[in-house]
Amino acid sequence: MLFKKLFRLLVVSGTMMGAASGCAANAAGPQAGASKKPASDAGTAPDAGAKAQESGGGAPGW
Amino acid sequence: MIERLAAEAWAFRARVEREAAARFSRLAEEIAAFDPESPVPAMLRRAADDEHRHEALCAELAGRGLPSDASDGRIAPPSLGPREAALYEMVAACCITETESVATVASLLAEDAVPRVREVLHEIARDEVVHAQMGWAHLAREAAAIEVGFLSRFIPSMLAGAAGDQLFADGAPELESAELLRHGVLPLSRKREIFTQTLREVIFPGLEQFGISTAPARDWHAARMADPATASAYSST
Repeated sequence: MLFKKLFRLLVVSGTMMGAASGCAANAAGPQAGASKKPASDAGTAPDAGAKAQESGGGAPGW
Repeated sequence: MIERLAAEAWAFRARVEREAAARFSRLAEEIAAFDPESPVPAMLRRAADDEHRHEALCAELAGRGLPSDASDGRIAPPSLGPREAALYEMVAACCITETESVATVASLLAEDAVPRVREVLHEIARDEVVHAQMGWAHLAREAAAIEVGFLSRFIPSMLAGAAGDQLFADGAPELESAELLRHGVLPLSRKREIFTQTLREVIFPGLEQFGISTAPARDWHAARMADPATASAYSST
């Protein structure tokens, strides 16, 4: 039950906050929202053997 | 012994809070540069102030001065462009780490902690909710503008960094002491359960609603649960 509440409180509410103020594509200019732009490395093949700095890291938590 | 373990946990949290403050300040500027109408940069600036306050509270409970060894390490892979790197960090720091923190603090508040610890947990809990929400808010905005599916293969690294080396490892018996709860620290196995349940019921469904496959992350998690001895493998690759 706690986790269902957390999903609504964090994910659903957060998503609504982001959407309520208009999408980033529209904010960037009239042409930017016409279609989604691919991510900068969207074509990069997954590399299971990537070094840490290539695969990124995480933010330590509690 | 229990008091010493609790003090170490709060000292670690003080460093985490300081690092988060630096990251949020930096991300506020980076996101404002490509999405000036976003509400997220203002949220990030407030969150940075919150984290400085949390740092002092955690240091107080650790019985130590403020940490001096935390840094604002960039965690996104250098192969990503600036916009994708900012998204990577928001997902890692907020959608994953802050979301896990809310679940941890909520679980601790359900226990019988000593009064000052309880006060601190209450104050931190209120702020951490907003810190998690700003990650989901940013992801929602970016999902409308760019392809965000590329994040899928990076989620295991984000999880490894959030969990640290110890979460899936066998811990010393004192790390399982229920007495830790009175000092605002979860016993290790309980911490692992909450981390796992938050992944399965909050974070994974949240990422999937934006079309980010969680298959690599689920494989990563299943491997950790099946073989705790591999606990440090991901964080060192």
